Amino acid sequence: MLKNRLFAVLPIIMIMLSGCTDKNDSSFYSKDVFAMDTFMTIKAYGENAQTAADLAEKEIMRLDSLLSVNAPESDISRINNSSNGAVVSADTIKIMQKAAEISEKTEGALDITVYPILSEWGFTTGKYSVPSKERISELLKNVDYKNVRIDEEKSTVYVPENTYTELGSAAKGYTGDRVRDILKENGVKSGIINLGGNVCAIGRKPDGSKWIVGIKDPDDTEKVICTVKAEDESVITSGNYERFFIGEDGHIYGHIIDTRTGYPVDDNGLLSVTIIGADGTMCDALSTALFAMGKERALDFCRHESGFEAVFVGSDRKLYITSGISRDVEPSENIDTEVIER
Amino acid sequence: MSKRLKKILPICAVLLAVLICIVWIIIQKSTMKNGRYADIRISGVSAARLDLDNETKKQFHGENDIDLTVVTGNGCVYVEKSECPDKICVKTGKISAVGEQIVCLPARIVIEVKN
Repeated sequence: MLKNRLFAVLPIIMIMLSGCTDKNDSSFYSKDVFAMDTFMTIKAYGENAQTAADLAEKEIMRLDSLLSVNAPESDISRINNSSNGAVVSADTIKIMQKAAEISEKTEGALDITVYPILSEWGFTTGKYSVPSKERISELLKNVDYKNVRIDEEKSTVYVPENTYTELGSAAKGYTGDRVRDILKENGVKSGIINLGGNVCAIGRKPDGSKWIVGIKDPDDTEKVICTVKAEDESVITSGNYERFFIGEDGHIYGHIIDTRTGYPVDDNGLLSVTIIGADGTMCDALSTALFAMGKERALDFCRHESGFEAVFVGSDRKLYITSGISRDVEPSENIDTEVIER
Repeated sequence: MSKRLKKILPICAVLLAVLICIVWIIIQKSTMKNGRYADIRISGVSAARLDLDNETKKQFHGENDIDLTVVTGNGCVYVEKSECPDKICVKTGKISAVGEQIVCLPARIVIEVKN
């Protein structure tokens, strides 16, 4: 009798179970953020994902106000407009110190005082033009990261007259680090943050596999030239293929400036540089510096330095990959690779 | 009813239930087509969901008084017109794969293909 009743109930249970096709994961939360002149997404997994993402958004907005070169009360504006130093936040001090470290290691390929030259070319306003050689020479006189004096004890930054700083080369990397820290502090063990193309992976995907980050093909940005598997690290790319203008002479001028000449980096053997590492601030700053250095100097730098991995897309359409990450890089079809040994 | 029939009937009932489940799942999945839709978000809030297989043209009013005209059909979505200065959203063209996005930064409008 009982067996008969079981047989009667079983089909009903099966029908009910087959209706359970809802794949919504109640512990997943995704948030759009518009800040730092770009679009960002926070995707987090965990019971506290929404709270964590909301706190992370607040942090992004706080850093946007602090580091903006246009907002009158930002740390950067006050540094640039002060004749005897400006007291700034610990965040600004940290970013500037990291930028100075990278500037020193790359012999000035990264320089946070290059802002006036960027402006002159129109990269800060969208009003592009090719400046005269005389104007570039004039502005170059005030470009030197060594002129920025940081007094950590007094939380004060000093710059001489006519020297202007900006942290566009490292700000998003630092912001990614802060967002990652906040998400983790709030219990998020798995997530992916995309800040205008700068990617920060938290842990692994919920299925236990590493996150897969695509690196755009600089010659066709709708395609991916390779993928990188990432876990608890940032993946940050620099290149001239997204911010550039075409001059009246038909030449392409990109936004990454060669600090030795004041002209956009050109024909240096590289289409893009991607740096992978746990320190997002460093990855951001280093990707810009190595792109500016050009292929030979950048590859040589990688052979002698550690603490990060790199993927270079050469003008020869070849991928140059540091040995530590070569197993986690999957090139697209017909793309040659070369491993950089350390 | 014979003893043999009494034994077989419950088994047949279970098998029939299993068959009904399988057929129902197949019908459900086929009527969902591929399930892809465009999620239109304005300043992070979902404003509309448009089936990629339905031919629609809809205007959305974003931040900074910018209007976007979004078109769906044939399994894809694109921005036909935008009042933003750079028209990057228009230049992005058609998207159709799950996860692909069109972003209009000035209007704070994001169009994402979801399943």
